[in-house]
Amino acid sequence: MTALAADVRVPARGVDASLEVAPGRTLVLLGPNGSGKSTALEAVAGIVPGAAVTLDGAAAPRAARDRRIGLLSQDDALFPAMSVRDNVAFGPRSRGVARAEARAEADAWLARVGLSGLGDRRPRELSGGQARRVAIARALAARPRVLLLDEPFAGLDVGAASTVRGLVAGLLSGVTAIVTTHDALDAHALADDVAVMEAGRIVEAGPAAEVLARPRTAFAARMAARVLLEGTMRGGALELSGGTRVPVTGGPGAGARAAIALRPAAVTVSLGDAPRSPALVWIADEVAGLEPRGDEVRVQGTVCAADVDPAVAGALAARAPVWFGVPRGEAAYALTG
Amino acid sequence: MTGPRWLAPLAALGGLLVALPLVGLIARVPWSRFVALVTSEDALTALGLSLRTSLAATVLTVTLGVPLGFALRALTGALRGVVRALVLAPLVLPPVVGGLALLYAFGRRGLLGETVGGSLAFTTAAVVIAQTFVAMPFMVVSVESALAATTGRREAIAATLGASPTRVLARVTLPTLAPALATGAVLAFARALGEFGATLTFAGSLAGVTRTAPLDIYLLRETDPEAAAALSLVLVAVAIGVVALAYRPVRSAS
Amino acid sequence: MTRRALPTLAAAVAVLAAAGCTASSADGAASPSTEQLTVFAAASLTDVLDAIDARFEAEHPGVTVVAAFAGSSDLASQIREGAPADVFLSADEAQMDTIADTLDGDPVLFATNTLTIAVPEGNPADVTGLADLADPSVVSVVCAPQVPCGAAAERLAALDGVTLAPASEEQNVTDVLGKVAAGQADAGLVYVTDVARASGIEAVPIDGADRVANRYPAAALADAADPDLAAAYVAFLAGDEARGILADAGFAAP
Repeated sequence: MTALAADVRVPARGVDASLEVAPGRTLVLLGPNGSGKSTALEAVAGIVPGAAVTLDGAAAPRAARDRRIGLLSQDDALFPAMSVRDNVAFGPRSRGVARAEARAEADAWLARVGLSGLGDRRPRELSGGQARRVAIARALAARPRVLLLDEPFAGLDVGAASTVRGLVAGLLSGVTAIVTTHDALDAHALADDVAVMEAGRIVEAGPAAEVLARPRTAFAARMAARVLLEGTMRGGALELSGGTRVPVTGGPGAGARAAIALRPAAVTVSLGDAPRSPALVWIADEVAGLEPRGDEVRVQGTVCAADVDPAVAGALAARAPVWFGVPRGEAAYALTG
Repeated sequence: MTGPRWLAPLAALGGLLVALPLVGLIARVPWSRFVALVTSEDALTALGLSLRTSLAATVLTVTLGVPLGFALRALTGALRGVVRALVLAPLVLPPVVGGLALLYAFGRRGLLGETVGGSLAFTTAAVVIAQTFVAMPFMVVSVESALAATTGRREAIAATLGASPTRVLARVTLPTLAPALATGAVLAFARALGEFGATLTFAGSLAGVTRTAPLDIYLLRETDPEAAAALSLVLVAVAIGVVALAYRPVRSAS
Repeated sequence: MTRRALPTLAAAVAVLAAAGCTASSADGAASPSTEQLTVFAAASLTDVLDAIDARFEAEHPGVTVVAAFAGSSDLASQIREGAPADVFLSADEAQMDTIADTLDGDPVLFATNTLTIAVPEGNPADVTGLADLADPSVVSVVCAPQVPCGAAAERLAALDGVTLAPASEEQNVTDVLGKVAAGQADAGLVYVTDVARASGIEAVPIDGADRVANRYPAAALADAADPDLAAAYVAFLAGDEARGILADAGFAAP
């Protein structure tokens, strides 16, 4: 197993980031589309210049072909003129493995990704999920020291995404890997460590449990699918900038900066002067934006946010006054700096 | 998409302009003697020479034109435009100008000097060079435009899998270029087969050595215009067949 | 397109071609009082005919001579296809014979021409006579036997018992001269008059070249627009004044 450290500087695409992955661990690079994640991976793989990469402390070769860093790209990039088997055997063949042996290896990898028997097909005869699995098998068959997966579940339908997600989770154990995603679910499912990328820079990094459960910036919290409430500790409560006090558990001593991270679905929305449950703490806010998210709508306020039913969101307009109800007794943590 | 009606008479006129000369040619062919004329020793010698030299020129065109297409693609900005124009020039040069240019480069008093020029003068190799000179642009254009349509993504991934640049070229790039290569090769072959002016100016005209079918037709007009028409028809048939082959609609297979 | 339109189109093309070949006719053509005489002349007459036409025009005010120059066989076939010529000047009698049925009266011989050996300036291969052209180490070019200059070369070589070993059999004298002037060939067989008007070329005389003299016939065509003018032109060519100009250019009297 290999330790990876990379300093990535691709000024043309605004990327300036340092990435480190300990041997056998999976780093999830979390960021919105266009934040530079793909560029960072391409640079680490050596197909875009701009990354100083060390593997186990030694500088990696300049040429991509000598780096032994595998890259699964979002478009699969299967070779259309070859059979599926020859696609997977391409890495071993490039290393000089004899044809028959390489094909046997390819078949073994196809079996591991659940595609036994499809070796004779052409890439264009595969479904999206099958093609992605072939691409994964092809990357692994080359025996990379580090594996880079760029949005491995993007562009797949729900069923295929779920199959591939299960497969990748199994294959990544014991492999040094970086996985990019914009989806907090993938981060929760796959990450040992998480680095949050915003506009080409790493804004937060650390163990997954730390970064995902205790984000320090609103941006990182949003990427982790959390609502960050920041404030100052005042005797067992978090005092928000508007003066509202939210009773919390734990947290640093009085006067220290602290935060709680809430699931947006756990936050309730109430309008106007309607009766409000005393079980929650109510924060007066106004609607900054509405953003559809699957079955629910994210109501983004200036301080808080919540995921609500579209029927509720339908009554809201930008700048409308709104109350966010947050639960009492959430775990607070210190914000430093 | 048929366009406004007034296009139709112009289209008919354009069609006539192209079709009438062919009809005129066919009308002059002495059908009773046709087989005898096109299988005469002279005709077969010329056609055989044309076939051999055109095939050799096509092989040269692939061997040199494909790398040239890659090189062109590797250039950027204004330089690419300039180099492309240079490489494509033989396409639009008057054939005699092409022949003169070849003479000044590969002739006995050309840039490469007496040793090279003297060994090429009036040889079949000179014919092949002239044909390659005029046929090359088809291959270069074909390859360059096909390369422009690829993202280079598969090549990059192939490199991460440990493939050498040669292996990437052979196993990944060339297979995707295959349709473009085929089209380029067929058009190059057709162009080589029709080459006349540069050959006449540069290589000369001697039966079995440098007198290809077009040169033979040109000479035949003196003595036997009907035989010239018959041999012309053979070349027309080959040209139409080859172009039909090269431009047949390709099923999408990307 | 109607049936009548076709010959008109052909005539228009021929006149355009004729106009493109002469610079001297451009100014006079516009005047309504001008009468135009179209002369189809063998390419070897190109320079000498300008001087002759100037004299003829001086003697016939209001007449403009438009001359179109090409190989005799090209011109003969154009006349057979209906090109609107008034007078035909051929470089050999055989080509004149091919259009005998379109002539107005018998052809008149007005000049003869003999062969000589053209060599590049400095005569790099030290060619001294016809026998050297049988030596394969001397790169020689001749006209193809199918065209008049080639036929004449073969006859002359046969008279001297020489077997020519040409590297190329060209379509016409111009191509032979081109190969020699470029230094591509060491020697070429052409007419005396061709060497006189070429640059970068020297002549090596052939002993007894006058045994094979090429005879130039002139004839008015039956379809001439002004038969009298056409006949006058033919007569003028055979007259003393024209003969003097022809002699200066290297042509001998018939």
